[in-house]
Amino acid sequence: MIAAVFFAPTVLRPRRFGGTLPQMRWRARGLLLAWVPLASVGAQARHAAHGLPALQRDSLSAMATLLATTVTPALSGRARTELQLTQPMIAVRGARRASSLQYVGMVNLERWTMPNGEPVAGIWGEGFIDRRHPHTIFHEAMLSASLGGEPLRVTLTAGKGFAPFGTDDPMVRPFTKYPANHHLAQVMERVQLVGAVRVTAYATVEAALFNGDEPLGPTSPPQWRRIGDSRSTRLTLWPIAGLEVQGSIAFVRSPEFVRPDGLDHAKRSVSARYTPQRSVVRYLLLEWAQTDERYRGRRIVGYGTLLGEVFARYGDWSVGLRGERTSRPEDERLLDPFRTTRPPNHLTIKGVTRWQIATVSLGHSLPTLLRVGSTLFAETSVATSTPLLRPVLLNPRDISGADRAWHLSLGVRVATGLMAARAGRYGAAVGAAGTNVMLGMPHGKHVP
Amino acid sequence: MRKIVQCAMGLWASGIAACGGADGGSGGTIVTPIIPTSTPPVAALTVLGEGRISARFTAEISVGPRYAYSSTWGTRSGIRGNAIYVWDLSSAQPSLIDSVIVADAGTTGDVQVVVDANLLVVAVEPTPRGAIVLYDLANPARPSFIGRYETPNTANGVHTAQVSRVNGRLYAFLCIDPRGTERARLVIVDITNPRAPVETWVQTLGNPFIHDVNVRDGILLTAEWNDGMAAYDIGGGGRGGTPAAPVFLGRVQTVGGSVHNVYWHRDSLTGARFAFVGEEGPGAIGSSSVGDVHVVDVRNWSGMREVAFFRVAGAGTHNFWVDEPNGVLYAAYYNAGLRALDVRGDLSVCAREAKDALDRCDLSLAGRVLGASPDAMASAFVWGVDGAAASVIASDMLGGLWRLSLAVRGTR
Repeated sequence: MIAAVFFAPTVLRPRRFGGTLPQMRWRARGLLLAWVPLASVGAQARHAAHGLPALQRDSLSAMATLLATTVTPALSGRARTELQLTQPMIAVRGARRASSLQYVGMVNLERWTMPNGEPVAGIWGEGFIDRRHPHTIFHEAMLSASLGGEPLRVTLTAGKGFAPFGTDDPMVRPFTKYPANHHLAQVMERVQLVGAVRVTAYATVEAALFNGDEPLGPTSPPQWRRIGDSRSTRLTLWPIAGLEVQGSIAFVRSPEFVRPDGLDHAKRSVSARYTPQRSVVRYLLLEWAQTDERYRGRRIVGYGTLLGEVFARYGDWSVGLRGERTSRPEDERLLDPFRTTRPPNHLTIKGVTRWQIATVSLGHSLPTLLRVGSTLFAETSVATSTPLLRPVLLNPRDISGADRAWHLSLGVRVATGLMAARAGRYGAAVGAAGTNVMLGMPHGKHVP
Repeated sequence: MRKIVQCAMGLWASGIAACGGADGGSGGTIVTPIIPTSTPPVAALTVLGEGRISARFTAEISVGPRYAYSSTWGTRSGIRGNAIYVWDLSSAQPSLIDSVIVADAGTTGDVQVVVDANLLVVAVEPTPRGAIVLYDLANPARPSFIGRYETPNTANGVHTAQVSRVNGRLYAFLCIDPRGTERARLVIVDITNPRAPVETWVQTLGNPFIHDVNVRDGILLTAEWNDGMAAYDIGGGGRGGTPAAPVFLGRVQTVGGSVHNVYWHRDSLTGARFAFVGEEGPGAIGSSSVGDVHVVDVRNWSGMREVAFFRVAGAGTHNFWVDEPNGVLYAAYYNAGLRALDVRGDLSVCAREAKDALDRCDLSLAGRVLGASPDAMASAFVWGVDGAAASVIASDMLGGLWRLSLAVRGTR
């Protein structure tokens, strides 16, 4: 799976693959060669069980969401309804050598099911705006090796996945639609090397080196020469059962350009996540994040987000509430008004828009059938946009036709197999006892 | 007190110039420095007329003998920047008389009228329909569509189109946007026959952008962002270069990089010693903008060097126009409106107090600011400038056109 991450783009887009193994810079070679000690270390490792899950066998899972979304207004004052299959994913997870080696992989099929993105209020990133971009096909492939045990455990993880920054990826959170702050609160789809140190069951510190460039599309490979030009660090505490507090910082070099020619991102995140064990309320999250765009160290502009979400379940019924306040950059649109230039044609931000979004989600789990769990859901949000800079050169109202828009989604989420409850943590950084709770997914077995 | 200091600086500069010498290197002409004997006061330019248009954001302006043509940018109130507006300048008040809509355009970021060819050339963005569109100006009040030149090499978006004659033929120099892994590039197209353009040269240029070129006397100057300004022989540099095979002559890195636009100046009294470079530093519209006007000594193409600069605090320059007969540079400054600079004489010479740590002359301290946009333009967002019949036309993204008086040097 991991080898496929590195070499499959050659097969899919051979003309575009800009480098071969001999041409990779030393950082990339080192990342690949790290597999050797990773694979050999497990024989003498001990697994610490305190609060850390032990994978006993390989697992295969799959999930997808079929939904119809109506946005009003969507474009020039008119409503639009779309039927889509989102987040179609196949995931594998497993362990070897008494869980001293763990792997995770995920293939995402959005490149085929939603090539033009998915309508999401206020979201932006990777050339999409007001629509969530399709994720890369090889979305995740990480291999972790552990050393040590109680009270100190060290893991080294290599591959492609989520950098240790911010909060869980929204795919494992109890809402169908991503929040607008996705690119402020997570750093994903990066080739990286992650070190994590777990001190007892209460604290973990992680550090990673990765490539700064964002994917150009679902099939685009990373810029190999840029592996290591970006970094992040995250400290996570689990002071009491079910409570997880993290603080993280990241420096992402020139994410919007394939070469490091653009603005850099200096990122910060703080969050608290609580998953009560015996309660109708199953999950609460409060997060703050800030990204400053910098050029040669000089701050150009900053974007911030404050988000809170809560999820409750009673029997087969569930309800979620999310409130978000996020500011995003505005840039020139293409002939398709939901696309922006990649890379930007200037290093001048054309505007900043504040989005205030309230979301309510209602779900009902259906009986498992042929090992497939499903949840019917209805999710609605109201989003208000406010330009923050003057003069106003790019106002989302000029695209949609109004300062306020409603989104309504009706659909079903289906899943089979042992689903992952968390996304974005590897090795020693995986959550402590009580935090690896399945949220919003169809009922069924899960692995942490 | 300020006038005494300015006068002293002028006398000091005159003394320095008297001890200096002239130098003619390859690619430049012999220059005799002329130092202003007095420094004019800064004055507000006078508004002579306004041409209001708010349906679209106004972008570039190009002025012909009687008519002016303005392009458009982005999306405003749901309306695309896909138009070219035609203005009658026969009276002080610019009068909108016609418009043409360019198909499959989100921005018409550049426009140029070629008077001797009765031609109007429009640059079209964005990807994937980047192109230039050509119009016949046999009736300059009613541009007539000739054709659209669009190829895979222009598809990423034509940011600017500079049209110039080289050895009797007419060429369009197209600055192409980067896209994905494709870098920015320069495309040279022979449009001598505008109905049958022929691509003559394509080259990856710009780090990461190339937004402008300037062509004069067979020399091509390119604004290559963080790669600085470069000079190429395309017929006038004595190195055998042509528009089909430019020969590299030299490169200069100006302070701050971000080279956005260039202009090779001809001073009627001092010759062709200097080029002006506009810097478009990173920023956020209305929040933080930076970008100086840089002056480069180009007497020796292989040894170009920056000698002076001009800065407006809290603002960055965009496009400019030079009134060569009068030796005045008019620079658009977005939220800071417009500035008029005295660029006559030896711009590399100034009082020691006007020199910065890099030994460049600060044109503000050297007393070379002649004028600024008036208070009436306080809310304007000036994109570009061009000259018209003893006046200057400024394009205001938000409001349309401003017609202003020319800057006047003060006398003592």
